[in-house]
Formats: sequence, C-alpha cells, structure tokens
Amino acid sequence: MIAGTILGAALLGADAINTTVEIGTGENRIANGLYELFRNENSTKQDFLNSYYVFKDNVYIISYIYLTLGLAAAESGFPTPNSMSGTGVLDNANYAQKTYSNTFSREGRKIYSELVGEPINTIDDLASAINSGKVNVAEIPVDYIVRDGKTLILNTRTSQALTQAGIPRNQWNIIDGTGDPLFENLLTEQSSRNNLTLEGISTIRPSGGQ
Amino acid sequence: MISEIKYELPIFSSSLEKEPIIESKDLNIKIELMGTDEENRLRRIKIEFNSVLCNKHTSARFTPKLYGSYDRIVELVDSEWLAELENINKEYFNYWNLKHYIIYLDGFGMFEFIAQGYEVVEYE
Repeated sequence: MIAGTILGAALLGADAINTTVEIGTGENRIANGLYELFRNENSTKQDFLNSYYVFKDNVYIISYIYLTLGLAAAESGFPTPNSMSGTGVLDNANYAQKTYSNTFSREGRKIYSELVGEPINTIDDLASAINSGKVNVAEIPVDYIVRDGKTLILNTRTSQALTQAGIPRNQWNIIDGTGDPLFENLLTEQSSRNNLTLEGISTIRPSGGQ
Repeated sequence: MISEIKYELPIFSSSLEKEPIIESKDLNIKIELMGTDEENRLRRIKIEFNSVLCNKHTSARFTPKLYGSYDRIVELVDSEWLAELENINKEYFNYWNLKHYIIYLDGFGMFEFIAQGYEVVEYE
C-alpha cells in the first residue's frame, strides 16, 4: 500500500508538472517525441496519439485511486493484511493440540536465543526474557488461522510464553496464515492426530516433567 | 500423491521429553523418540529404516504438504522421487525394491527415507 501511495503520488506529481507548464503544448511535445521514438509503418501518427492519450488518462485514474486509498489507509492506521497487533482476533482462539513440551524446537531455540542475546531453550526462558524487557513482544510473532469462523493458534509454545509473561492476547504480534498451505495442512493433520474437531481446544497442558 | 498409512506413533511428537535421537549405521537409520501418550504415560519408541539409499530432512517451516504423515509413517506410493531414481538407474533400483517413507514430527519437520523397509520397537 505504501508503495502504491508513493507510485500514485509520483505519477500524479509528474502529471501536475506537465499540466502547469504550458497546458497542452508541453503534453503535445511529449506525445510527439514518443511518436518519433516508437513510430512504425503499420500505424498512423493519429493512431499513436489517440493511444497515448487513452493510456495517459488510464494512468491518471489508477494513480488517483492508489493515492486516495493509500492516504486513507495511512490515516486510519489500517494494518497490512498479514500482520496485526492490538486487536481482539485471538480473544476466543483455541489450540489444535492437547499437550505441549516446555522446550522449543531446535529452530525455535536458535531464533529466540539470537533474538534475546542469551540461551532461550524453554517457555520459561522466553517468558522471563519478555518480563525483563530483553525482547519486545512485537518481535515475537504468533501464527493463527481462521477456519469455519473458528480461530486457531499455531505457535503453541510461543503463545504459552506470552501468556506466562502476562501479555494479553490483544497485544501479541499476530500473523494471519489463513489460506497458506503450510499452516492449513499442519492444522488439519494436527487436529486429526489429537482427535480434535476444527473448533480446537481452549485449554492445553504441559506434558511430562520437562 | 497417494500415501498409505503404515504406522501411527503412540506418543505425541508435540510432547516429546527430549529431542529425537537419530543414528545412522551401515545402511540403516534409527530414530529414537521419548514422549508421552494420550494418558500422559512416558514411552520410548525406536524406528529403524532398513537399507536406506537416500534420505532427507526438511524444516517444519518448509513443508506445505504432509501426506498424512503427522506422527505417522506413511508410504508415498506414487513418489516422484522414486520415479526419478528409477529413471537414473533402473537395474540398480530394481535390485533394492525401494519404498518412499515419510514421517513428520511436530516442531522437527519432515523426515523422508528411500529404503527397503522399517521396523518399530515400542518400549513401555
């Protein structure tokens, strides 16, 4: 959207320059110049000029739409489609598994350890790092998907760390993975494995004594 | 892709007590898992793939297709990987009678084996 806004502004700006300097004349000069540059035997100059003005008008309309939408979105603070925070999307969200291990996966441990700057192996470690301000909540994304109107959280251990740290769900940095085969297929098989319906489960428990 | 379920883990890979131990010896690859089952009982499982000629591990973040392999061993019947190997060396391929097995472990990703078969030992 930002790119669209910049593009729109740039194109509108360019047009404004053309129209304020010798209205019509400057524009004709550009059109004539382009004709000389791209002329061919199969079309007349009038054909080319007609096409040029149609093209220019379309660019003007599209630029105007982009600029209008871009500025409106920027003013309203409307988030990008895939990343949001400060919303209540996860207020009633469930999980697609019944139990979880306290230890992060190898990849999770590496990512969080690098992020925090010290070893992060468990949910407790991450919760402590959040509480001590060593890591910002905004740097910890939580994926979710919406299926048949039900919202399901995918990053179980990360969400447990945030909960343990006392961070309300409406302050999490959430990412909507709805429609992404990576998340959709995982959720389908995870729910099936745990004998859960697509509604999921609201309460989960840590496994074993880790 | 057509996959056949061959075995379902009695424990949840999302609740493993420790990381999977993977060992390769001769032509076999062994995966040892320790975790809790539905009743929260701690159990240990050993899966050994025999005569493994190719294998692959893919991060959970790069596996958009699971083929029904979440906590299961499945055999991918119409495997493109097998077809590719057969195309490279048909005689050698036929000698081994290879299968394409897949197992997906939550958080650890997908493990794939081109092997003759597998054995499972469950410890109580």
